[in-house]
Amino acid sequence: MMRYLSACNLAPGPAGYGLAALDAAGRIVWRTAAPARGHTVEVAPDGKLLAFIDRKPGAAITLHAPADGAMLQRIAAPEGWHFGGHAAFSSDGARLYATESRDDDQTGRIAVYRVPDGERIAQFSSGGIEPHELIWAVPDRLLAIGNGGLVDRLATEGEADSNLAFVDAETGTAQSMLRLDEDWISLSIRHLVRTAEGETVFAMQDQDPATDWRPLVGVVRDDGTIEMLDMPRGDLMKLRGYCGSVAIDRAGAIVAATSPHGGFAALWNVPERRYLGGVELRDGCGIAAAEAPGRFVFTSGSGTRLLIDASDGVSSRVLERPAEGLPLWDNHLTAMPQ
Amino acid sequence: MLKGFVSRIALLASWLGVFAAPAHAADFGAFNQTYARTIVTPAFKKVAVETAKLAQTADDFAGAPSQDGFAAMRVAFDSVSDAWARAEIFRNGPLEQEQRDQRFLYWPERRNIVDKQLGALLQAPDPHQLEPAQFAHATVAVQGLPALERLLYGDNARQILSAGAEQKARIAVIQAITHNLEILAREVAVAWDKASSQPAAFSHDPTEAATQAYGDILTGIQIIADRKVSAVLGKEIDKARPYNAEQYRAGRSLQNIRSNLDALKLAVLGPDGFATLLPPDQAALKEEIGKAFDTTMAAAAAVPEPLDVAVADPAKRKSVDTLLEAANALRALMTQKVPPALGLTVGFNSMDGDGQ
Repeated sequence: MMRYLSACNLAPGPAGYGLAALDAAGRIVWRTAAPARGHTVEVAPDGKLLAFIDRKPGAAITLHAPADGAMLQRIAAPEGWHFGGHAAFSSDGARLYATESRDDDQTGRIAVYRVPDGERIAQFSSGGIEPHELIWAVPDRLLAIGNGGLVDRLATEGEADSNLAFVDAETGTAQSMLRLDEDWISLSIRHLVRTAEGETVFAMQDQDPATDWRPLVGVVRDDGTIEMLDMPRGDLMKLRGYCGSVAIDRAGAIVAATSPHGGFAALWNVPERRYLGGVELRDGCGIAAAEAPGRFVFTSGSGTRLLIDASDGVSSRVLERPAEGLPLWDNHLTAMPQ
Repeated sequence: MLKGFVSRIALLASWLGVFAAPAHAADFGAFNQTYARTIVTPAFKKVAVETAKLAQTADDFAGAPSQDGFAAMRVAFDSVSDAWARAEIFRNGPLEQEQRDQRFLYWPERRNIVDKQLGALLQAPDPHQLEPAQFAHATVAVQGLPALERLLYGDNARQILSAGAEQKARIAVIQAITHNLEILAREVAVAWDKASSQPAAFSHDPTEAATQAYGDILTGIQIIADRKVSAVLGKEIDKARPYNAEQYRAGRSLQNIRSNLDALKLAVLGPDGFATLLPPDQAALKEEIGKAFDTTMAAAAAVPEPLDVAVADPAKRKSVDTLLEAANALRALMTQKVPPALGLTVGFNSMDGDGQ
């Protein structure tokens, strides 16, 4: 059985920030208030610890008990730095690697914490500016880091100094750094997921969404080259130049990228490089694998949850559309196998 | 994006669900229909009328280019821009479909792409590509008002008055743009007209439709604060970005903000606006909303025009600061205090990103 975790608003407005756990049937198992808006929840591989990461510019990462959400530890960002919104546990659950950026110029760094005591034990460069999500490209050895490259989101130059860095988790040395073609300078690489075949899929945000229709999701091939995932123009337009989250199904083959701006989730079979279709959900962003292969749970900022089935064509059905719209589901949904 | 304006008491109250529970049961279906019929549809019909006039003016100019004809196109451009600034806030539904919003007015502009693309188009204006069916698929950078603004107010705009290949190219592109705008405006007006008979147009149910319409109000205020003011102002004077100001070539940056605010105020406090959903015991809140709008509108009126000049002038920047503060206060009020009183739960704004 799956459980799901998400940052959310338990009540409207800043007073309602929190995190919640849902069971497979969608019942709220527990909910906990938080002093700041969260971005995502990470689960230790052994399922014994949760990390709740503040939304960028994050002041803190808090550690919680999976059973009831009780807060166990608060890790504050170092002076002059802030957390980027994502983190990754080591496979033994004893370390947490988090993205962080310097307040004044967005220089990127990976902070390594010992958990659960929260002691900072190492730090190294993220290989770029404004790192957002990081995942394991090779468990415990190699981190894939999406350096978003945005210094000022409102800057109309619309350029992102973005890269996808593969960094040795032990030595902190960058093994490779992938940059996009110069024509795609407006794209910011922000969210990542790894397939069962070991390919890294990245989802992007276009700082210049209106000028043309640039691809928003790509794959890093085994040989280190980049391949963009195609989709029909009409569906690409529905993403409105913005991917907020990306998830992979339980079989590790089907990827879903979501756009809250466009209220749309796009799905591909990655090994076959085949676009499968999409699902509409207003303000939909959170997405996570459901129990069965090809299925996902898709959550919205107005409290709706959909079940997507992409195992044979793409279909969806509403799991819940709460009358009062609460909780409001924030950026990311995390699946936790029980 | 949201800042902590909520007091401890409000925090406790919202935690207990006091704010979340609708204070009264509003008939959102009836509200949506009236709102579509008397507020949104007329705004787009006005854009449709003004764009038709603009296209006619452009056709007249093409028949007999003259100084007066050029001046008439500028006047018509202004009327379209005014009407647009009163309609663009209604993003949800047909306007955001098929990228109509960006096709009509692509902004903020990135990397001066409009100059580049328009330059390329003027170099080699292919009549086939300028036909409406084709032009609708051209880059948004050349389809709408920003390209037209350059053709009417850009450095070389008056080349259109000298006979030759350049004149022909400019006229052909202006005609393509103006007819494109006319089609876009008509499409949106027709779609909203139909929506007037539906309690939940572009939505699953009446509550969601009302929530979306209210979300447009919040987005409209956010765009004013973040993009139309803050991104131009910059944190310090050496970070000011005058060239970020909307339609600054035509000197319209502040006028657009004022028109946006007029339309937003009408949508909230007008005879059929959102405030009609407030229960009778919320008269004080309604008054507070009115004051917040008036303060913002007064601040916008007090900025010495034009905005792109004011932000770069040490003495005048303060007036833009005041406008930004007022717009942010309006936004905080409309985001936090008003929705619960209306019986609406506003979700995360879809303009929201994964960080600040």
